[in-house]
Amino acid sequence: MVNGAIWIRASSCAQCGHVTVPVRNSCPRCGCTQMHDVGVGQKGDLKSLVELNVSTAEYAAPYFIGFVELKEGPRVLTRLEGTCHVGDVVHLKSATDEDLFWFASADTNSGET
Amino acid sequence: MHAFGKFPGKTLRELSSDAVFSSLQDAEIEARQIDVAFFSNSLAGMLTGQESLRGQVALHDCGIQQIPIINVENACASGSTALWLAVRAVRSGDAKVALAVGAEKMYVGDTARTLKALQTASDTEVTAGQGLQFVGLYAMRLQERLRSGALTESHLARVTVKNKANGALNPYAQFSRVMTEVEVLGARRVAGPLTIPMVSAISDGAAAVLVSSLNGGGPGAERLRVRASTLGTGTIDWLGEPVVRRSIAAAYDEASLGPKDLNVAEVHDTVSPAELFRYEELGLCGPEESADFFDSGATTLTGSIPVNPSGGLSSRGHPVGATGLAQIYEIVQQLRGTAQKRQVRACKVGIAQNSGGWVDGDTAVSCVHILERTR
Repeated sequence: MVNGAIWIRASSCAQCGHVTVPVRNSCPRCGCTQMHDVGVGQKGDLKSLVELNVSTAEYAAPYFIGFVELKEGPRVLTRLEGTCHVGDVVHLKSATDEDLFWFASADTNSGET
Repeated sequence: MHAFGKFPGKTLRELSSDAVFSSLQDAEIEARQIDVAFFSNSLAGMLTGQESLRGQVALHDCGIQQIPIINVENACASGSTALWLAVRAVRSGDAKVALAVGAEKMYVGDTARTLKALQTASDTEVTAGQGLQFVGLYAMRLQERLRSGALTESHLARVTVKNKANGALNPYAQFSRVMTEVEVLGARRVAGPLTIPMVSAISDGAAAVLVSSLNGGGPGAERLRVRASTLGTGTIDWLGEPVVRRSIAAAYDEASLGPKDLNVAEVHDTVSPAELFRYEELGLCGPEESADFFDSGATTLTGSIPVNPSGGLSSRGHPVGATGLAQIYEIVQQLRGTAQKRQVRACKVGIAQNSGGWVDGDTAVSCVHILERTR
């Protein structure tokens, strides 16, 4: 939470520009150890989406997971809430100190309550 | 090998012992002739509480003591990784006989707990709290093909039907029921287009493989040769599993063989339809040609290159640490001509491909072995 806005904490590589989620101290693409903290992911494009029909210890089925390509570059595996479709622009719903986030379509409450 | 299935009354030790004793009997050697043992298991720490010394505990009662025992953990590719190490122990000359044994007990009476343990075959910093299920990753990769029209839901069902029919002929398989396309498509969905019969089940089981440089082993032991043994780690990708293709290419290179030389293949199909991707990764057909290749019937038991004659993961079962070695068990039966009702014809060269885990968008581990019957 920075100035009321929510972000995913990430790292950007000083050498090749690769952005990692979550924070890393070296770049998985080029090995550079100069990484800068950045906030990313307020919105992104939903690239894949799947409905899961088996409950886990954390989530009761049905629930959705998918890949969101953030406008800053990285793709993240995330849980999706609300009615979403592949190709939609989806919005970061919540990021806490524990780095737990999920995404939702634009017409869902932003979670900034 | 110990059959795969639900064995609530058996411990990891008992499953392992059964597999080890049957492999020793098969090779006609004694436990005291083993120079080194690699014990594969992935989930016992979380599911039974046995950490740290799983192999030493599981193999103690087989008389496997004193020698080096190394515990191997590489997600769903743990078993083949144990074999990769055993092959190297023998190739280096350090060992004349090396044992690879894999065992897993996944039935703990609580599916959510088993799923939680399986979730940890990923970068848990990235996947924590995101509800990851591996079947979901495969479902997304398949959905892309369904959307593009390269595959139909009928293909997803029919490759499952093929593997159910194979599994029904395999006495070691967890599931022995033949199913129709209508039954498979009509079953309860678990992830996107994937229904219960399409996905690998929770299983208990064990398998063991002996690798030896001895010429004086049993009648079966001297007839098969390891032509290639490769192990790769994933890079950065999204659902393309490039590590699988690389580990297969490396195996062809090591063996100086290619897809046309293969007579039988066991591939890692966490969900049966993932087998369709493996056809392309093995080079059996071109990119995005797996639907037509499957439709040709080439991968059935009587086809030109039967794939997953054991039934694959969804029929044979998938006790994580044992799967890679069960694939080898199947290839060995096929090459020896002892696979009975599921025997494929003209069988001289077989390949086994075993995948595990997921990190940074790629499958984390892929291990490939090519075996050849030398006479």
